[in-house]
Amino acid sequence: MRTPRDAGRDRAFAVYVVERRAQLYRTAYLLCGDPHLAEDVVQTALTRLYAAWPRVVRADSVDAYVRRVVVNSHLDDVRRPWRRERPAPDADLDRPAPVGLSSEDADELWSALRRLAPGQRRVVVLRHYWGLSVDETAADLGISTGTVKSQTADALARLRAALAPMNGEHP
Amino acid sequence: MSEHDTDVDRALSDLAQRVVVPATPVAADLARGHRRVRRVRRAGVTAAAVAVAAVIGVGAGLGAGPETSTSPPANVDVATDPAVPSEVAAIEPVPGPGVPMPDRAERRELLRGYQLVLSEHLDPDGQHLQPYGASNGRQSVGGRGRLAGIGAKLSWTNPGESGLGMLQVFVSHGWDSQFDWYCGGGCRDVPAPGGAVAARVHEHDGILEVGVERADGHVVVLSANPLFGNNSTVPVSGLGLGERALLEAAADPRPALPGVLVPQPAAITGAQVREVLEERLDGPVSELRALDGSATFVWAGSARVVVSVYRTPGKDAADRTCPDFQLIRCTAIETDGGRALVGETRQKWGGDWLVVHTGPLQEVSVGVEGASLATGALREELLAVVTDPRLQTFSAR
Repeated sequence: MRTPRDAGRDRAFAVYVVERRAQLYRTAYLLCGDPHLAEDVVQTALTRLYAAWPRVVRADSVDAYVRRVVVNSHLDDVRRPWRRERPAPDADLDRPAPVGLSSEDADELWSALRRLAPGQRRVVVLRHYWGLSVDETAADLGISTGTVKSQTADALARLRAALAPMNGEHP
Repeated sequence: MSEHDTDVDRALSDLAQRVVVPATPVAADLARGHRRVRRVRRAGVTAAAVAVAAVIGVGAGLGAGPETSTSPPANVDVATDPAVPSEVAAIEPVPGPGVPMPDRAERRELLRGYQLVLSEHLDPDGQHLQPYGASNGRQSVGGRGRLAGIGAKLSWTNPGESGLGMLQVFVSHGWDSQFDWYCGGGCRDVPAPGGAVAARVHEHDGILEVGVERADGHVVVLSANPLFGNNSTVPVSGLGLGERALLEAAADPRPALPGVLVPQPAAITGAQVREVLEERLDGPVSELRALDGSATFVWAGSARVVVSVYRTPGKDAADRTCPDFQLIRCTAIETDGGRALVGETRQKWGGDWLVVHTGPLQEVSVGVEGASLATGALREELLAVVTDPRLQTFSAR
């Protein structure tokens, strides 16, 4: 029998999902490049979040908790042998952004992002998509701040090269 | 943040906005959460019931133990599959790559030693390369009590210049344990110096990187970067280090991990995978190409399959369980030589199937798109592929 507390949890969880699900999915997609895996990762993260909701809410760290689960879920899947190299359907890339990247630039950036080592990709998504600090990124990934900085520097150099106009050379 | 960082932030955000997000109803996430809470509560009840039964002397037969995995529940059936060969169990697992983890002081000494060797080769006058010290960071690869690779970033200065360059060194057991070595199709093989086995060069973004594989199993990667991005925004005019000098330095036998490197099995080759596929699958292998290095191959026949061979160093086959794969359906297969786990699954999205076998040395999986593996000849063929002992044996690359 469901209690009022259960109903309260459901309401709060639902609000969080409506607000954050898209960003979590985009995070997972930036990390793994596969829409099915990204959806799997987000479902796993939200399922765990629901189960841990009372504790996580008390600690006022819902975003941090679910973000860490997304990154760690991606880590788990990267270590498994089943990795499908499936390019995103064209519809995912041709949808016009309100401002910013041309389709060509988006393709370049996707390629550059995929070419990053997994550790660099995680760091750059947390730092430059989520806007986390070095310390927050280090805490999410369980690595040192020095490693975050070095990974960031290397990754940014590669991504900047992809964004640089008239620079078509890729490693 | 620099202007460039802001550009990257904006570009990543734009890129993310282009992603079409599935319209998953909140009710679906809620339902999954409810199911998980119910499973956790049931596990607690089951454990309590076991404890009570033990106290009052009730007999066994309580069925499966508490669900400890965070994955969806696995329907685990144990069956005997006569198609599975028994030779797999005869292969003895080896320790994973690397050496037993040295303590912190030993790790510092290692890196100091590496820097001294590099100075000898690349900065004999002592004008440029910073000694390794407490202020330097350290990168390492390892786990399960073993160190598989270690390295550091060292500052490089030029007299009269205010900029800061960097020479990075990373010493590992094999290429797989390198920290950041990533060719991405841009590497070129070069003649290996001295008694080295292989050497590669990668130039990108103004950085010159070399990797040398020595006969003793070590791989040393040196990376010469005119900008030490962590610590400076001003580059040096150059390090003046050519490819040959870096290769000679990387080939020096002295930078090594402390201890004996147990030879690791060489990776399965594409030819070996193809041999097994052509024998076990009905019909010829019409397409076989590597998707990411040597680990993944594609066969296009009546269904598209992807074969992956993934080394699991230091992990016993018995440690792998169906819930590890977080998949919906999984079956454990008993062979004559012992228990081998073969996971047969269906991905929640896309209707794909996956057959996995964790052998003593490697994990072999076959993923299938466009065909069901619930029953039928293809299922039996793929079970035979993943458990084929030839994918657990090795030959030189």
